[in-house]
Amino acid sequence: MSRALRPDADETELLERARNGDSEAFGALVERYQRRVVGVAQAVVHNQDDAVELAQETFVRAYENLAKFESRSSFSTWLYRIAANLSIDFRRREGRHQILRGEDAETEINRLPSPRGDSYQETVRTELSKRIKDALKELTPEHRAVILLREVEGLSYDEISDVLQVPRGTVMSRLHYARGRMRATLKDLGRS
Amino acid sequence: MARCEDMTLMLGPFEDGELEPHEMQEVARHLVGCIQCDGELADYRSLAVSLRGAVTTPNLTGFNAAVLAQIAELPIPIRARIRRYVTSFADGLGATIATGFAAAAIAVITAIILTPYFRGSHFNFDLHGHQEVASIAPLASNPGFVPAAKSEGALPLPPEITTGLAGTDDLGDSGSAIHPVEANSGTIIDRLEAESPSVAVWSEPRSDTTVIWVPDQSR
Repeated sequence: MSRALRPDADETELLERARNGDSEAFGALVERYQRRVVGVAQAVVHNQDDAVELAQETFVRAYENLAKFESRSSFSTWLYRIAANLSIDFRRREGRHQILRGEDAETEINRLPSPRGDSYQETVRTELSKRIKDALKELTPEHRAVILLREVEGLSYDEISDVLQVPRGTVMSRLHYARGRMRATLKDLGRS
Repeated sequence: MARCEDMTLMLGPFEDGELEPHEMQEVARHLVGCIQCDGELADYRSLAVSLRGAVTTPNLTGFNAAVLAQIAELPIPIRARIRRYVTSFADGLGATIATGFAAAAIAVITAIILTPYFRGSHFNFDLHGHQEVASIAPLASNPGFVPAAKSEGALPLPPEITTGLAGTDDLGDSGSAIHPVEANSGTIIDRLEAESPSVAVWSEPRSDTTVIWVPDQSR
């Protein structure tokens, strides 16, 4: 007998119900974390389609292993760690640095919202996005993952350390390097 | 004043709020008087804004449904199956218990009424009747004892007994039958056994009772 799902259902309650096979409860958890899980995968593989597939796989793996999840870390951090591991494995398996493919990059740029519809502003924004993406391309996957997890996904240093399973000091040094490198690349691109 | 080389490593964590309070104060004091570090921090801030604007989130319409569809195709683990079975069983347990109790009550009533158990208990009532007969003997030792066959509301004693007792009554007329002086259990037992061979009489010392066994009269 399935109880009705409250919109504000507590995460613990959702987890308990999901453990008992309630797919509706697990669906609520997916809804809650899907964007950030995709973001974590995207930070590592740097490709949207691959990131979405990896995020779906992340949730399936999480569902299969719900019984093993202990509440020592938060559910979200556990999910991000699965996503990061799957993404790192994927990147190794593919044997490539997943930078935005040319066509994919163009699509993304075209998707950027245009609040004012001003053609000049849009051109500037497009140009800036292109520079950012070029600067990201210059980074190694490890440095890119750290800066994207911090700046785009808003993860704390401890969370990044937990998700990528590297020491906090490594997170700090990688982040420092990535910021400095991007700053320099963007200045060079600006001059040219 | 701290050197810029020392500060530059702390600018990022300062922006992210990841320093200890005393380090935050130290960086903040340095930034007030250092244009170079303040400019670097401003670059970090604009870089973060640019990154958030440049990295787009894919369209996630149907994402949830796709995940649930994949989950539905998974084989259900044995533990989960058992857990679901137990849960569904527990849901119906209340009704099952009520039904079980009702069925058990009906079964017990049926067993009592329609099976040999009931007849067995009826047989016990017969034995009880015999015990009542047996209880006459001690009464016989009382001075005011009136033979059962002659008293009102008499117990249904068999003819052997009543005949025997009648004989003793006749003797009693001569003052020798159930006289208080003679009427002890041994005398009565001897006389009953002698006059009516089909009646068995014995004494139960532990209960201080004399038992008179009378054969079934229906035969």
